[in-house]
Amino acid sequence: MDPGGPRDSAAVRDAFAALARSLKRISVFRHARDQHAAYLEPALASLRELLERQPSITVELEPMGLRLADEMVHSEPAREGGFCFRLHRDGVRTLTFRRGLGLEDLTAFSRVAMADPQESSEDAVTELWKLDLTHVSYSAISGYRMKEAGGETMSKSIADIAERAQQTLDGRIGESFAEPGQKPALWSEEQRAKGDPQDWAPLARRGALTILRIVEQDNAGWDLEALQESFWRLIDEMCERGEVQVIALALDRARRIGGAHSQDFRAAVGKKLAEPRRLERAIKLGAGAEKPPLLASWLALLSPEEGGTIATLLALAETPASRASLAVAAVARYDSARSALLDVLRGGGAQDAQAVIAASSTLPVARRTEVAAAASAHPNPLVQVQAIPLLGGDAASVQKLGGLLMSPARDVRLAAAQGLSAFTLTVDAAANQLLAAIRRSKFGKLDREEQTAVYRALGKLGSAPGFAFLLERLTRPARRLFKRRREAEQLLAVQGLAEEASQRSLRALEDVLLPSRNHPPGVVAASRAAAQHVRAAQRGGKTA
Amino acid sequence: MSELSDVFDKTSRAASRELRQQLGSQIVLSLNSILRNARSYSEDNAVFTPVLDQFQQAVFSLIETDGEFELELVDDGFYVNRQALRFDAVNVPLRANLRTEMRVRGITGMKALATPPRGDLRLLVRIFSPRGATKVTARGDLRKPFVALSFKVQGSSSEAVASLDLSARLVAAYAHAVFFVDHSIQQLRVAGELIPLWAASRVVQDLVDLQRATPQRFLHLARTKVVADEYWGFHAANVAVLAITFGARLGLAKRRRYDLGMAALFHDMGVAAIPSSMLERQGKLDERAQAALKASPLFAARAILRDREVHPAALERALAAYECHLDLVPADGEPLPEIGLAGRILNICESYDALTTPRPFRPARTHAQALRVMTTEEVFRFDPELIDLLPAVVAPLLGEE
Repeated sequence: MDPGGPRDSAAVRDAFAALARSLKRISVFRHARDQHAAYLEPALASLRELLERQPSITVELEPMGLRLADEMVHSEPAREGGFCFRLHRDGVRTLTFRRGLGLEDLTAFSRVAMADPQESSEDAVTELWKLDLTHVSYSAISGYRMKEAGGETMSKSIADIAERAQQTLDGRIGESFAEPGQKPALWSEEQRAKGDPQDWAPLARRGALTILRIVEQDNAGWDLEALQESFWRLIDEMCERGEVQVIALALDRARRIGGAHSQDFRAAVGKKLAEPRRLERAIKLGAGAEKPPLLASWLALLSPEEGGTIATLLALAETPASRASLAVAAVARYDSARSALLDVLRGGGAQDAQAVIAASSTLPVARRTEVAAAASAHPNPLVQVQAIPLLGGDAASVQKLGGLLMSPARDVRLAAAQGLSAFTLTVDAAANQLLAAIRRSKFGKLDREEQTAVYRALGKLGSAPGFAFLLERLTRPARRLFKRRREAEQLLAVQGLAEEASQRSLRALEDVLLPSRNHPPGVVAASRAAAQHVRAAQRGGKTA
Repeated sequence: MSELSDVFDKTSRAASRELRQQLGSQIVLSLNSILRNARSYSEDNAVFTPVLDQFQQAVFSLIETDGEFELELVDDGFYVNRQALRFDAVNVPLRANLRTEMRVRGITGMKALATPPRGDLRLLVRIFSPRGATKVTARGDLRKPFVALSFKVQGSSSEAVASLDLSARLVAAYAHAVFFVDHSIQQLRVAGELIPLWAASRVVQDLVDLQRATPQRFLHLARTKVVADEYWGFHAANVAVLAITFGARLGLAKRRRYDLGMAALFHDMGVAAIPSSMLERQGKLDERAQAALKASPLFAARAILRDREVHPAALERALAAYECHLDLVPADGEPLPEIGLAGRILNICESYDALTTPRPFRPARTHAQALRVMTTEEVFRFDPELIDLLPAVVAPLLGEE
């Protein structure tokens, strides 16, 4: 205790209670670093009040509190989060606060006292030594304590070394040796700033690349696991500091390194990178359009088993680029991502589902069909429209598209018709779906363009039932009350036959041209044009 | 902080007090035994062996507990590390005898920051013998001074005591630095338990503080040279001394000088991966040896990165250990290496110390010769801006070769 130190233990207790409260608040709101100084203001006021009475106050540190002389002036449970425990564990034994204490010193002290146990840092004594605070000082356990590791020979070894060193000094420096003091610095402030910029980013980049070099050159040995941890901790730290370019570079290099242990290294790092907390941060960091492909490099290291995690985080993507990266990564891990992907496709965000559909084009047909089938159930018509081209030509797909022909959304119906027209292996089934749609009473209420699209789809299939239907519509239109409606149906049939562009459809169209058939002039003219179109198509040329 | 050093670990913790009492009593009784026998036997006599062992062990234990050993004669009592010693009735005459003998010689106490070697203890016997020097100084007999032990002598000025303290602290910190490196290399070779990093950290903190307090004396530590198997520890400690001095001369902040010192201690840890026989081999190295030597800087970085710490100081250490061995002029086609300031400074300091140290395969060069080689024929190997400053940094070492 300071000689003549304050005896008013109540005031001391209050001051250190205030300090403990402030530090506790900092530990709770650790990431609100800009608020820490404000949290410390009550503690500073109490300590200043105390220091107005005395020039300094020294308290002894114990794992569970602070002691002034024989009295405990602050107590706390012995746990890692407590500042007394941490400082004591690291070797600090007393703390002294001096008059003139300001927020700057107290904030710097709090950073050491409440250092995040998860974060990498030096021990508290070293940190305090480096800070060299003016108004807060400490004492630590003395000595270097190498005895435990050094064993019995340690004492002799150190004494022998000391003897040699002492002899060297004795040989050079006499009893009357006088130190000349420190000479002026050889570098100016400007040279120091230039020569020793102390930028963290280049340091981290070189650190990461050095770890990778050790692994690549097969020098990791038994420390492979430790190096893996150092690497992902470095990536964590880079994320914390927002060093996007450095992360992308390091991960890209990690993806490409060779060496006997490179696979194990990538697998271990990838496992850490796949943890949702880290992946979420990477998604946020990679959000800016101007950023390098951080997310792509990150995701490339994740194992095939991580598809589900990636897919579930799609919802966090804020930009099309991030969404696309995640979708591609999830689809590339389809086996593990399947369930989560199907959930997204059935009811996730429309943009997420669209990204997955876009990424699915490279999948095998069966999986593509599964993706499209799920997406066709999505409530958003845009998703359904995008999914339809991915459907395969199987019976289930035909059924699915048949159902979509009844969709309330026009774009979906159009896409479904177009989709069915591409099913070359199940033409009859596809044609039946189209025919069913045409025969529905609501078909007549659709706009002309949509009706045309359905007829053309039917024609394009070239199916027997489709042709029969078109021929009948052209030559024997249904009895209608209004002549104009009959003619409209004939014209639709002409469109369908033209789309079929077969010999039989040509014959049907030419037959309409015969005057004896007595078709309306509009139908005749359309048939003529259609016939020309079919002939040209058959010749491989163009229509006139 | 210095006034606080009087407080820590000398407070009222019961266990420490009891231990201090026990060790202090042992020391006083040992000194009495020395006094008694010194009248009849010369200091080399085997009769002193057990008592000197006991004395040395007690001092060692006190240093381990408190960081120092200090025996003071105050009024009628003895204090060990500022704790008054209690004596039972049987030992009171012994206490009085020792007090008288010490006072006769003008000695009011003794102190050590590192365990005194056996040579110091024999000198202590001699001083207490009838043949001992009539004039005792803080370093004992000036004709044969103590290495680690020092006396508190009546009438000695506070400056002299302070200077003596600094010198002892310098030597203790240096010795621990050497020991740390040697021990770490040994343990890395056998995958044994390492001395915790914080111990090295404290050593380097002390070295940085001592450089500031006594820059020239500090730099002269780099003259301590050994050959063969002890080389690596001394080399690393010397590089630390040179690098901390270099950093101070550049005007770098205290924490950057610390980074340099730490990096220096670790810069050759990679040799743990190379068999000793290979390291000391003379003549051309075979392919395997060359490969091992080439990989050793990466091993040094690995030895640091295995601690799983990625804060800037740890990265500086690891990178400097690796980068200080990189060629500034790479082989054809290879990109220019990116080397941080610590690596560039260590590169210079480690070459300087290596050149001035005798090795099994070549003699040592003088400091002036080493400087000349480094600034002329080998200049391309170093950072051009920093190598120009080397003469100013090592100037105090150039005289009195």
